[in-house]
Amino acid sequence: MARTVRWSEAATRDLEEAADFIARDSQYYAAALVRDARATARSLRTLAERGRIVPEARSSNVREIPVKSYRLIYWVAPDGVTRDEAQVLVATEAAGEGINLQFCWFMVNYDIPWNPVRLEQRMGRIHRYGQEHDCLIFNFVAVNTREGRVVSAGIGQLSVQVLAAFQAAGLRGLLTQG
Amino acid sequence: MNAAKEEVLRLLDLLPEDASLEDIQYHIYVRQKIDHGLEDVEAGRTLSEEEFDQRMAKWLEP
Repeated sequence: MARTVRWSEAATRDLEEAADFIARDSQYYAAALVRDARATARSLRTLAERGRIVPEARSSNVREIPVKSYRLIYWVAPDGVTRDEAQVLVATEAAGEGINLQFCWFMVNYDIPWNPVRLEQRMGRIHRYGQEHDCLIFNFVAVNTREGRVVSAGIGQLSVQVLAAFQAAGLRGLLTQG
Repeated sequence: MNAAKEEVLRLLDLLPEDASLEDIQYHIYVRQKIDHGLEDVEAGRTLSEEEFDQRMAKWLEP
């Protein structure tokens, strides 16, 4: 969903002051700071939720992205309960580990790894610190196939080993088969 | 306890044990900055990206 980016008067003034200060030494670095801040703000039209939640703020709608040695702090207007558009990330196994996607809360696995630990890793991309929604996780499996049987066993194993832990941590996700 | 004092206590809880006075001051300052920004948003004191570009024109010219 594309958002509208607006600059607060206070932030604009601070940026001007910072740029004027830096310009005493270097016009070049002053301009670079303004351009960087502008580009970062512009990038918030999409995936504004990717910034870090600002610890000093009381609301998780206040987020930040570093711009040079500064912190670009911004407020994300909350969505209504329903909306007409959604952003979708389609990814290969490459997104299955090592990246943080806690601003997403709906996952569809269209290929199921045979190793349940990998599946657990994928869930951990969205069900992690900073998640504010209940996570919904759907697994597409063809029944009556070898894969289907492997996955049944895998999910059986997973449900014993991991789901208990997830539930303890507050995951009220769905684990569907078939 | 009043809200401001509670806020400072909350901020202190976030900081590591070895935080210096300067650190504490910095985080309170950030907190105030955020409030100022949010007040601007609420009062409609905001600029569109185009207005921002006009105001920053001297830095954005090639």
